[in-house]
Amino acid sequence: MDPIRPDASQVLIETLASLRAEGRGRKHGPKVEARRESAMLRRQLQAIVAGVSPADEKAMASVRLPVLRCILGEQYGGDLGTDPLFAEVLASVDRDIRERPELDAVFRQAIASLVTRRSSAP
Amino acid sequence: MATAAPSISEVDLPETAAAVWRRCREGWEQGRAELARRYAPWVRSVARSVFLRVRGRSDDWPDYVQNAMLGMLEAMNSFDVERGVPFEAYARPRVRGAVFNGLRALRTLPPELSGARLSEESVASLLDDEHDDPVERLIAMVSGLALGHGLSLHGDMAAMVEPTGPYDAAVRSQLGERLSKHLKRLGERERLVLEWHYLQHLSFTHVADTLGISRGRVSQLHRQALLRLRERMIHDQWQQSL
Repeated sequence: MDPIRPDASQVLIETLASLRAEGRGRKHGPKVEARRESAMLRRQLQAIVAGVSPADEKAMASVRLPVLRCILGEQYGGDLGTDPLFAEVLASVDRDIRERPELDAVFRQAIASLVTRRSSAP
Repeated sequence: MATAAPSISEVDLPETAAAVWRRCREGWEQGRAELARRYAPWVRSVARSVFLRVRGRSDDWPDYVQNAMLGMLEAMNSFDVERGVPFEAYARPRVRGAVFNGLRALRTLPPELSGARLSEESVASLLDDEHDDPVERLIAMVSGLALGHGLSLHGDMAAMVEPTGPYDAAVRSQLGERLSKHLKRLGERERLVLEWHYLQHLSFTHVADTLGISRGRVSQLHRQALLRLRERMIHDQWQQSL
């Protein structure tokens, strides 16, 4: 076999392997997938906020945008990074949370919950 | 005996505006909502003509549309279809006047109070959910806020920018197109609440008056509609990644 040009079956095997590695080798229906996606999203969020103290204003501000990007990217499509509307939506939601205390409170409670669960995990 | 096939004029033709006005006068409850839905694109075009004429700031565009819609709702109250004048001809000076009046008020506002912000009522409606888990609550809140901004920004962009060449087509938003597609597939009332609130920038109170329902019911429909839109967007994304 030409080492530079792998045959079609080799390409297929590699594609399936990479999909499985990314956790996207779908085998179930939308509900099971939704639960799995939700667990994956939670793990990603925990990784972003790892080591952040909810009392540390600067650290909280620095994770806000990555947390929002992670939530929206996961829900509406990771391929939206270059979409002109997506960038504006992200900035608008960030501004809402920054400027409205009631929204900021929801953000803080969620981050505190993520940090606590991570630190109490075995 | 074979029945005669209906003529073209009897098949799938929408009721004329005059007929809707008459049924409305005879007490058809949803007539006002139907008329507002029909005239909404025209109202936006009137707002747009003023906006372009005065070279408005894009941040202020929602106020132009909102004032134009309010002008139209007022004109609807005093319009008499039996006088034989088309509603657009009767309402145009009133709608334009409402936009210009709003413009004067807009110029006296401090800059931090103008611009595209989600309304207090839509934010309150979003926060009124049932999640006990703070992380799920954050995810629902962020998704709802994003959908609201997405609808509003996409609607405003589409109204203000006319595609002129291949470059414009290339920068068209994929997210905006998906939102529009799923918005059109919502149930009538849910769709109207989102369209009037985010695209025409009407308050929940005005939406409630037009639909003939309570403000609380509008808030409920708003939350329900965003939730449904979110589910469909996620499902869409799930299918695309297969």
